[in-house]
This record gives sequence, C-alpha cells and structure tokens, in this order.
Amino acid sequence: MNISWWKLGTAVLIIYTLVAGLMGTVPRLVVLNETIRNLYYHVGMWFSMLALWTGSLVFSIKYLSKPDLISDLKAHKAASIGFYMGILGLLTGMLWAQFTWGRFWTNDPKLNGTAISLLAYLAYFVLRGSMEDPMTRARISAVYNIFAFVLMIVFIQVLPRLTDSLHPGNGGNPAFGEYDLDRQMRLVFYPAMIAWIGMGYWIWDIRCRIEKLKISTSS
Amino acid sequence: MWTLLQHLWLLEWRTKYRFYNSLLYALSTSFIASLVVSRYPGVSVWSGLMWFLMLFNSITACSDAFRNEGERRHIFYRQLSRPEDIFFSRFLFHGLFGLLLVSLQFGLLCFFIGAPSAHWSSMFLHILIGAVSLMGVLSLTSAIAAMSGNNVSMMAVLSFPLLIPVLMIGLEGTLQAGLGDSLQQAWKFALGNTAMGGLVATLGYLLFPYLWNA
Repeated sequence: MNISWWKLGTAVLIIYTLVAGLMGTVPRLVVLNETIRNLYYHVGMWFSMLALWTGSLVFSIKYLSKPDLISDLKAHKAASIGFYMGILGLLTGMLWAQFTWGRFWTNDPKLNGTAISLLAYLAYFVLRGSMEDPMTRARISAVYNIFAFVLMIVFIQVLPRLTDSLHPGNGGNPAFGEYDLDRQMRLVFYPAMIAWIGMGYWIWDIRCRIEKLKISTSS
Repeated sequence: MWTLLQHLWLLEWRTKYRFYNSLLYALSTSFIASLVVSRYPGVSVWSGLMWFLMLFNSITACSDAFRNEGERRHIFYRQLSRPEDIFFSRFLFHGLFGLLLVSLQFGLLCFFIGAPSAHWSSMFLHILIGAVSLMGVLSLTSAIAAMSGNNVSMMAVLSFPLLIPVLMIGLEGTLQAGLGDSLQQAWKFALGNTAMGGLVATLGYLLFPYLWNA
C-alpha cells in the first residue's frame, strides 16, 4: 500500500487533537473555563493559514523568477485554502469571543488585521478572475500576492504593538504560555499545531493534483 | 529618473487636468462636509473626516496614473529607461502631489468646519506622512490595475485592503496628536507610517520590473 508517512502522521495527530483536546484535563480558569480547549482549534487555524499563505508567497516568488504555470497554480491553491482556514479561524475566534469577551466582534487590532488580510486575499481572487490570459494573470497576481502578503504581515505584527489588544500577549495582557498553559496543555497544543498545518498541506496537495489532472486531461 | 520626474511635471503642467480635478474634488467634499457636520466637530470626527476625504481623493487622483498612456508610449518608455526609475519617478511625483493635495484639503476643511484643535500643526505632520505612504501604495496598485487592463473599480478593490493599515496607523496618530500628545508621545505612529512608506518603496523597487516588462 502506498501511504505517505506524513499523511499517516497527520491523521493520527488530528485524532489525537480531537480526543485529547476535548477530553484531556485543562486548568480551571476564571472566565475562560472550558473554552480554553478552543486554543487547540482556533490557534491551529491561524497557524495553518499562515503556513499556507507563506507557501503561496514562496510559489509566487518562484513564478516571478522562473515563469511556470504550475507554480502559479500552487500559489493560487495555497492562497485559497489559506483563505478557508482563515474563515474557520475567524469563526472559532468569534465563538470564543462571545463566551469570554461577551461579543462576537470586538474592535480589536488582531481582528481588524485578520479582516483586512482576508479582504486583501479576496481582492487577489477578484484580480485573478478579471484576466483571461493565463501568463499575464499569473505574473500580475504574483506581484499583488507578494505586495499584499508583506504589507499584511508587517501590519499584523506592528499594529497590536501600537494599540491595546484583548488578546493574550498584547497590550499588557500576559501571554498564555506565561502561567496558564500548563504542561498538560502543551502536550496537546504543539501536536495540534502540527496536525492543522499538516491538514492544510494535505488539502492543498489534493487540490493541486486535481487541477493538474484537469490540465492534463483537457490538453 | 530626474528627467522622468521633470517629464511628469511638465505633462501635468501642460494640462493641469489632475490638479484642477483634485482641487474641485477637495473643494466640493469639504463644502459637503460643512453641510453635514457642525462647526468645530471635535478631534475624532474631524480627523475621521479628513482621512476619509483624503482616501477617496488620492484614489481618484492616482487611478489614471498609468492608464492615459497608449501602447506606443509604453514601448517608448521601456526602451529609454529602467523600470525602477519609472517607479520611483511616479512614487516621487505622486508623493509630492499627495503633499500638495492634503495641504489643500486640510486648509479647506479648516476653512469650512474650523480647525480641529489647538494642536493642529502636529496633526498636520501625521497627515502629511500618511499621505506619502498612501500615494506610495497607490502608485503600485494603480500600475497593477492598469496592467491587468481593468477599470477604476479594480483599482478600488485592490487598494482598499492595502490602504487600511496606513489609514489606521495614521488615524490613530492624528487622534493622539489632536488630543494633545506631543510628537515625543505619538512618535511611534509617525514612525509606523514612515516605515510603511519605506516598505512600499522597497517592494515597488523589487516588484515593479516584473510588472512592467510584459
């Protein structure tokens, strides 16, 4: 049987994340209570999104240095799957915010940063949709992708440091890791991050293969 | 590069189309603002309004930056100069134009609805820095929109998400300055936007050649 080790590992880690994340012991904290379990899923979506968008950036740079439509395809698919992960991260975060901060949407710099990044990637998809010629589309959207990604990353890193944030580790709030992410949680948290990144990579791999098959069957 | 900059000024000087267009835009938006907002509306409303008008005015001013050149002139430019020079001449031209534009807008808004606060000069400084960053982002997005062969709506779609960071930092800085923080206290916002401008210039330098050499 042809099973890749990383697919097996991802599947095992996802099951572990679901089981241990929902059934393991977590510290009893005021306000957070059981919602702290969301840490494994909410943060995991961001890690996965960032990993995919970084991949998209790499393939865009690769396309510009050596024009090849396969790199463009990979960059596009990574951006779109990262986008879905971002939506999931936003939804899990909104649920969490409702039960801890009392509202689905707050005027938090991290939330604003996320909303703007998602908008930027929507603009990327609109830009791609507006051009017919595949080479022109690949070149121009690669330029926009790099420009948008770098600006977004800088912005997401800079803005929470300029203003206050409700998130842990920003604006004077202590980070989770400082005192309440105990050893028990770390045992789930780190595998969970690897699991969700692996999951994103897996979906991306399948999508790319489907598109390649479509190209080879149509030509 | 300086020749190109001179050339852009000369083109603008001959028609003054963009200047009058922006002047009219600034004048009418400030007048409309005076109709809907009472005099001396307070710092937050004032600076919100100012940045809002600035955003739309600069998008309008930049949207035709690369489009009024025909295919033949494009080839002509490409033979004569390096793409980096073309980008930087545009960046400088738009930056200077942006400075002029926001000064006009600021003066007109002061005239129509009154000066924002006693600390208007440091607010003005934040606005000037923000204007150059805005124009920098717009120089590159207008090039992308023009190369994709699309209309003004594409320009807005591409620019808005990328402009919001500059806008948020600038707005926050303007607010703090207007509420009486000295530049020593609000320096990080000014620095933030200067860094954004620098970043945009670097990215434009690296990416523009790929856009230009079709």
